Amino acid sequence: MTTIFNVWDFLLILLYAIIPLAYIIPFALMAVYAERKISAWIQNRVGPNRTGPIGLFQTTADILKLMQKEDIVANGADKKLFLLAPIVVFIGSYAAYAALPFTSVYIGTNINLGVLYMVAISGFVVAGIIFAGWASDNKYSIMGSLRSAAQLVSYEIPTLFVIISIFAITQQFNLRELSEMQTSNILNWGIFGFDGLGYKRILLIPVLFVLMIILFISTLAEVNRTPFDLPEAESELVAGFHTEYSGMKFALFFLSEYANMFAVSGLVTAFFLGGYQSPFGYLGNLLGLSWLVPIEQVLWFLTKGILLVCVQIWMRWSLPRLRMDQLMRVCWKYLIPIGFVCFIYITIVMYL
Amino acid sequence: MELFDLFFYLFASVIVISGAVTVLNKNLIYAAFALLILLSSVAAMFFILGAEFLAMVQILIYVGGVLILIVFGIMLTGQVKSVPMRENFVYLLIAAVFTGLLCGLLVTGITARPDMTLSADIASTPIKMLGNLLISKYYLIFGMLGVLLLVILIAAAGMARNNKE
Repeated sequence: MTTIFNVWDFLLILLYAIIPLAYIIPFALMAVYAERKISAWIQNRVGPNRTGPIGLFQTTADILKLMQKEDIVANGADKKLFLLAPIVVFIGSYAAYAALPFTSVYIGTNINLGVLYMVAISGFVVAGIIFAGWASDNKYSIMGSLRSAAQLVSYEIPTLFVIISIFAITQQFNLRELSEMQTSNILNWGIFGFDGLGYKRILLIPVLFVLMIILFISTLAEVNRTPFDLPEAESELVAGFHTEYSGMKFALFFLSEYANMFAVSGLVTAFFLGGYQSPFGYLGNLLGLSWLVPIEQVLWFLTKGILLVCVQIWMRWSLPRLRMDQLMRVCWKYLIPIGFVCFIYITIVMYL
Repeated sequence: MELFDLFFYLFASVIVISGAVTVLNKNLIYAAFALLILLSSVAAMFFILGAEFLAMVQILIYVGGVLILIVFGIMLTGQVKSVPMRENFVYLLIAAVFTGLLCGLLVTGITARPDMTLSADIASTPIKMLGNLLISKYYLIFGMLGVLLLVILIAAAGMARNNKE
C-alpha cells in the first residue's frame, strides 16, 4: 500500500496511446483522397477536383457530411450489437498500432511478442465484422460476414508460416529488435537477408522474397482489400457487412479499414523492408545531431508504409475480385504449401 | 492499492460478469459477444500476470479462431434469438455441486502451496526458454498434442471428402 496510483504515469500512458490516433485520422483522409485520385488516373479519369485545390478537401467534406447524417438503425436490426460492432472493429484495428515500431524511440508497447500480437489482435476486426453482419438483419450483410470469417481463418495460416520462418532466422518476435537488426543499410534489410548471417544470406534471399509476397498477399486478404474484398463485394452484396450502416458508424468502418491497411503495411515493412531504418545512414548521425535520427526514422517508416498502401490501392484498381473457391484455392493450395516449404528450407539453411 | 491491483480486479470482475452473461443469456449472439469480452479479459489477465505468450495465444486461438467458428456456426442455425434453457431444479443442483467442488479444489490447491506464489512484478517469460521447455521437459505432451491435431486434420479432410461424393 505504499505506492498509490501515479497520475503522471497514467497520463503518460494515455499520451502514448493517443499518438497513433493523431496519425490515423489525417492518414485515412489522405488515403481516401489518394485512392480516388489513383483510381482516376488508372481509369483515365480526372478524379475529385472541385473541393479545394486539386480536390484535396474532398474527403474532409465527405466526413463532415457523414457526421451530419441521420444515424439510421434498420427496423429488424439488433440495436445493441449494431452499435457495438463498429466499435469492436475499430478497437481491433487501433490496437494493432500499439506494437508498430514508428521509431526506435516511440513504440506503443515494446512487448517481446509484438509480431504475434499484431496478428492476434486482427481477430477482433473479424469478430466485429461478423457481429455487424448479424446485427444488421440483412442477408447481404450476413453473407458478407460469413465470407469474412472464412477468409480470415484461412489466411491467418500463411501469415503465421511467414512469421515462424522469420523467427527461425532472427529468433526475434520483438518488432523493434527486428527493425534494429536490419541496420540502416539497404543491403541488411529483411528482403536481402538479415545482417550478420554470412554466406547463408545468398541461400536465403530467394526464399525471403517469396515469403514477402506471401505475407503481403495474406495480410491483404486479412484486411479485406481487393482482390480479396469478398466480404463487401459491391457487385454482389450491395456493400457486404456494412450495407445497413450510415453516418458515423459507417465512417468508423471506413477509418478502421484504412487504419488496417497501414498497420498491415507496417508489418510487412518491419519484417522485410527495414522497419524504421533508413536505406543509407542518417543525416542526424552525419551532422552529429542525435535528436534528428528518430524524426528521420518516423519519416522513413511512414514513407515505406504509405508506399505499400499505394501498392494496395494500385492492386485494387487493376485486379478483378477473386471468386470464393478461387480465394480458398489460393490460400490452401498455393500459399500454405509454398510457405511450408520455405519454412522447412529456412530451418535447414539456418541449421547448416 | 497499486495500478496493478486495480487492473487485476477490474478484469476479474469483467470476467465474472461476462461469464455469467455468456451462460445465462438466451440470445446466442449476445452470449457469443459476452464470450468475446470474457476471452479478451482472460488474455488481459494473463498479460498483467506476466504471461505474455499465453495472452497472445489466447487471443490468437480463442478470439481469432474458436470464437469466430462459434459465431459462424450460430449464424448458420435457425433459432438464435431465444433458445429454450433447461432451468430445472435438478440441473441447478448438479451445477451447484460441481461448481462447489471445482471452487474447493482451486482454493485448496492454491492455498496449499503458498511458496508457489510470485510477486507482482515478475519479468515476462522469455520465449526462447518456453520453446526449450516445450521440446525438452514437456516433449511427450507436446508431441501427443501434435498427433491429436494431425488426427483431427485427417478426420476433417475425410469428412469433407465423404460429403462431396
